[in-house]
Amino acid sequence: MTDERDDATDAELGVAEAMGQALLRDPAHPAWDDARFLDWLAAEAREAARLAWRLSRQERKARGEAMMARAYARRLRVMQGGMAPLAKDETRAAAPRRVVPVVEMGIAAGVGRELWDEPADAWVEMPNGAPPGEYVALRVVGDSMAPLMHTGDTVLVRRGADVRRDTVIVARHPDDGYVCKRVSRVRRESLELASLAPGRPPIVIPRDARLIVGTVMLVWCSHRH
Amino acid sequence: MRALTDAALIDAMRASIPEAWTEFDARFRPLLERYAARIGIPRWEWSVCITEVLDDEALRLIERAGEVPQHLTAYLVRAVRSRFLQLKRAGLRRDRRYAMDGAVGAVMSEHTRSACDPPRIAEERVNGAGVVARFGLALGARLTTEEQQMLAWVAEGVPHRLIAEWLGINREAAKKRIARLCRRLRVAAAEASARLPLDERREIDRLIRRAAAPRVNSHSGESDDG
Repeated sequence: MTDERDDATDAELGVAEAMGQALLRDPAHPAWDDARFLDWLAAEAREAARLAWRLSRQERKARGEAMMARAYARRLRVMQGGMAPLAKDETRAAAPRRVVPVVEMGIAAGVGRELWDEPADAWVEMPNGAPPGEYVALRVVGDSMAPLMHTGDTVLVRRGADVRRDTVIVARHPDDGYVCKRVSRVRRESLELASLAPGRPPIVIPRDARLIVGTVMLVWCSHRH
Repeated sequence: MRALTDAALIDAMRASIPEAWTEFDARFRPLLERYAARIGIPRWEWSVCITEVLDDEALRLIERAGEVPQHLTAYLVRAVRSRFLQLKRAGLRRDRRYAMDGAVGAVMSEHTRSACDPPRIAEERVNGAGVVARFGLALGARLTTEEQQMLAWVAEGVPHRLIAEWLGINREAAKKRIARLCRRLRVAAAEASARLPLDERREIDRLIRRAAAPRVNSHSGESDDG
């Protein structure tokens, strides 16, 4: 601070900084709409967070997948669980209403058999606070719903034929067996079902209550996110 | 991925490349966290105000067919802001409902009420921040828009070189203007604090004293030399 006239002293600067910070507490301060300032601040903040974001290639991939799964789960109103809580036999005997049979979707796709006629060899415990209703758990086969669901994940399906847009349903395709897809369009006569993974065309099925198994409420994904 | 423009990044995200999603997060989250800290969003609301906003906006961006907003950073800051204000309003509504339900409120102990209430947005209480903030707003009302902007830049530690560039003047002139503004504020702060009640005056005086102490880690002091 050699030249008093040209340079603010630390004290003056300190007051100015404190005042500036007080002004910035206003969420609508003009600076928060200033593109140049935001760009500078974004670079600065990113630089400050650089170490925290130093990731290996695998971590970068995993983080992105986790974010995609989270975003889609929120949008499609599906809860995310970790490992499926497989029920032991004694739990099953003690509280039969708290457990749900797990059915392999691939097997259930056989012609002429109903999903719930399949013999179940595993059972999962119902999560707390699930709304009342009839539930079935299915093991997913195929990666068309990646990154939300992968082969081997278990989904909890609430049975019922009412379908809303932007949910995930399990339905029976008249030709291809059971599918687990996102409802992208609801028409009077038909439903359009889309995959999450890119490069797969949507499929259209007739809107028929007999073809709809139910809505996916929760996905137990064994992937480490 | 770092080199991609925002529009190209969104395209990559649309193609479901996980690394692009990570980059999206890495590109904008630090700024949004900085914004949240500055405007006083409490930490426990960050997952709602930042993580969920980033997730939702990422999906919205890849789903809309047209081009990305002209300035994505500002767009996301606005999104965080509106989510925060929305939460705050919801909290206020809840409070009003309790005020109306006098009968219910009367039989509930304070503890019960806070226990069955979801956590609400509260201003993070920094010691004396309320006084300083009010004071800053009072002063801010007397500043021109440009001065307010300059003040914000100084507070965030933008180098003088950039301030000069943004104002379209040369570096020496910018330096002078900042110094003049700072001096004016200092004088105004001292004057105004004399009119305040005693306890508030103490806060302001403490601020001035603290500011006068030699600073080890001053970002604006050294940024100018480069």
